[in-house]
Amino acid sequence: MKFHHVFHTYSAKTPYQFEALRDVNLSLLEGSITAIVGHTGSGKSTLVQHLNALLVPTEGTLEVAGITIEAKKTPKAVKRLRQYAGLVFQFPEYQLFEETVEHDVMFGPLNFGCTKEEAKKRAHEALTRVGLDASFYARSPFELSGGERRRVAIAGILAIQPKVLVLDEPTAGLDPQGAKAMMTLFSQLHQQGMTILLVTHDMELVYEYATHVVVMKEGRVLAHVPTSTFFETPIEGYDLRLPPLVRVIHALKKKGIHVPYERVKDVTALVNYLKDIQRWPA
Amino acid sequence: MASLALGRYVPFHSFIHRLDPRVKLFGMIALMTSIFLRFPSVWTNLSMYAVIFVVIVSLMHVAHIRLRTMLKQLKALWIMMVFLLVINVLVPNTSEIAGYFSIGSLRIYYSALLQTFYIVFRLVLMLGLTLMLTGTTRPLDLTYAIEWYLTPLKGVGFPTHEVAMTIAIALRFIPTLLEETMRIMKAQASRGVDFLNGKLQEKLRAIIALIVPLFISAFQRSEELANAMEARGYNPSAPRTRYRQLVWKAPDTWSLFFLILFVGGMITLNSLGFDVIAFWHAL
Repeated sequence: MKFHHVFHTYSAKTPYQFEALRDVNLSLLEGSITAIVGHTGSGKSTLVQHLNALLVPTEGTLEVAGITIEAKKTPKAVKRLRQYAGLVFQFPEYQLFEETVEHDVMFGPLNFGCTKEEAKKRAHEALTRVGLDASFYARSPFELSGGERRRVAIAGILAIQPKVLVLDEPTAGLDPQGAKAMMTLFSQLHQQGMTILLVTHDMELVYEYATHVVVMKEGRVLAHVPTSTFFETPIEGYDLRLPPLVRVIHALKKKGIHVPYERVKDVTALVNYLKDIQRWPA
Repeated sequence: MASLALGRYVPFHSFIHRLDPRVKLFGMIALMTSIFLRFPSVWTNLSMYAVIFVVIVSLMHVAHIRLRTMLKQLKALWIMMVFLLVINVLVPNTSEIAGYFSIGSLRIYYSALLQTFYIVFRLVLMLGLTLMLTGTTRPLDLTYAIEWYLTPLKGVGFPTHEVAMTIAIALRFIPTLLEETMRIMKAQASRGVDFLNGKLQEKLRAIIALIVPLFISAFQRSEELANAMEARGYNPSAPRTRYRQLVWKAPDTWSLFFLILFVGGMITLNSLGFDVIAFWHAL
């Protein structure tokens, strides 16, 4: 997935004109969990909507899955793009509409030309993956809880079997346990070979799960770095609020204790690590 | 997608933007009336339309609403025009001018063509007028104007304020619902829905996939709004003050004067049976 000098301007030549992307050059890594961070209005959502041609650049080109998307032209292979990159929007539970959970998850595969049996099989697989068992199949999505509805919506995208999963604030509005379970699901999908793009404000999620970080500001890409670099060296023009765990790690470093980011992702891991080095001082 | 935004308020600072919404609302209705006046002869009709056209287009120019962009966004109008033409051509018509020409065995009456032209022309002008009102007036100001016109009905127990509030809320939610529509369309497009192409059956499914979530979220929003209003002690029947006041200024008086002069003149000419050709001969 490569962006070449991509610009995107909304409502060009009207008083509402807004430049959401300005000269974006970016090469997203396959097999990574890339977090896209930036303040509200920095162009994160606009950026990811280019990946499956929901939006096309107003200038510049991009390459996704070997397909070139040119400025102001909806590519012919749009269905292939939609299948390649599955987009989960913010609060995806609002896209549910079918009478049963099973039918709603089958909707995507059927649109991409699967047979009924195949779609059903995929739907069951996807629902199992998100942790919903057979007792949910025949229920109406509207009688489920918020967290369950979101799982159904995500299963609806997973059933398309995309290579890249794009998630816009997937944990917004969930309780801490729900958010944790959701993120665990995504890291499992990642281990099974899926590329994951995560649009988020939550630095703790970035620290815990992302392998790479793209920083955006006012429509430009400020940086595209590995997560450890992102938390180590401040990025000019981006005001990063470090999560508490990272602040502790930084404080320890000042005291001369070096903690590797890759191995310490939560408080328990940090405590264990500190115990270990106490036992066997380097 | 851009056509969804047709008719929304565009913040310029033209003369028409600054006019009192009450004048604008009156003006729109008055000018619309004048569009529908029918004069006894073809030439009178055409010349009167020319006058109205010039007036409305120059007003639109002042209001920064471009006729060309408006027409460009109204592709649906072409389909309607063709439809009207077909219907009119099939009906023998000699109301305006006698005579017809033939294509093969099909008789096409001149009057039919003229009739179609009238209808389309009126439609375009009416749209222009409506756009001028909604494009230059904040929705809230428009509701205040409607409430003002409804005030006399308060005496007979008509719930003026409630109606105005309902309209204000409805207008307020148009952009929100449009945004919501776009969002759901994108979400469903990501699940492989093609809203533009496909067979009728597929299109129907696509529309269901859009409408159902839209309704659910609209109901949810309205409930939330009602709760929020109640939580802040909103009582529709209580006497209320208002933050924004409508202030009548000198330009409003002048505009109203010219509007009445123009439309009144048209109506008087119409009731006198004005005829351009007779008038020309008299000169």
